[in-house]
Amino acid sequence: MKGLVAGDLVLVTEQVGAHGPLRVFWRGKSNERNPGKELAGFFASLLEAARVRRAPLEFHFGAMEYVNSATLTALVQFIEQCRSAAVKLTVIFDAERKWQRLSFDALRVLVKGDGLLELRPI
Amino acid sequence: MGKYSFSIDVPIRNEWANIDLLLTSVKYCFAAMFSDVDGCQTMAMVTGELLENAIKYGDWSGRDRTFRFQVSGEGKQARVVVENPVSDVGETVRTIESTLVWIRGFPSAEEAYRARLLEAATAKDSGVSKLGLVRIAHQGGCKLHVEAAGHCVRVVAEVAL
Repeated sequence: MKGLVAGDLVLVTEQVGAHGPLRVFWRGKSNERNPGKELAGFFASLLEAARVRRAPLEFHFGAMEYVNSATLTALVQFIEQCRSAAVKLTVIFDAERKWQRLSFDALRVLVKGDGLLELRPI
Repeated sequence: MGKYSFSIDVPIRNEWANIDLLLTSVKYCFAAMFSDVDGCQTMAMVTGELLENAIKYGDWSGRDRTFRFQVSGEGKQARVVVENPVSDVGETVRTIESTLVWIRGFPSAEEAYRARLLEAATAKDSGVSKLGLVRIAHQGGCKLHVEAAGHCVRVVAEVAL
């Protein structure tokens, strides 16, 4: 699974074992005008890879410097796509940084009893 | 002028790349003034979201492709103002005001933000988030207001540092 470079945003992927988590490390800034469009192809490939390998996904945001609200919109829409595909997504963020805590902890509103979305502050 | 009075007032070309230049500048200005890292990030976020809205929803059909950005403050209070041309001032002010009224309809900005996230999760158009102003209200802890200014709309965010 290839990563992605889009403007100031760098996504690095890592697969742990055959069915271990498929990790995406978000780095830099996501500040594009329409990040949903930029990310759509990557998200589609990622979800397909997770389904085929029966692997959960992990998004690591700890090293991110900035995300705009359009990126957060793309993220919540991807969370719903993962749920529809019955793929578990874990969002890992740095709770010591206020902007990360406020941005990602609010995603708790999308957590349901199906266990397909987990938020993990570090 | 007090020890912590500050003001930046600049015309900005409506190019998307300028948003990052501005929000990074604001972040570093605040880092130089205060040692509060979280506060710097808050100012950068408020600046970025307001500038994005100005470029996305501004009317750039005229010859002048610039808009106004101001950040000022005193002590522990800052004010971010973005003023950009729009095609219909009255309609734009009403649209923004209706969003602000919608936010105030919740017990807290946090609850409004969570409600908007739920809406965004099922929205069909990924290019329109409508998350910017409510994010500023919640994560920035800002008081927001909008007003007409000639052929421009002026959005003001009051930030407690």
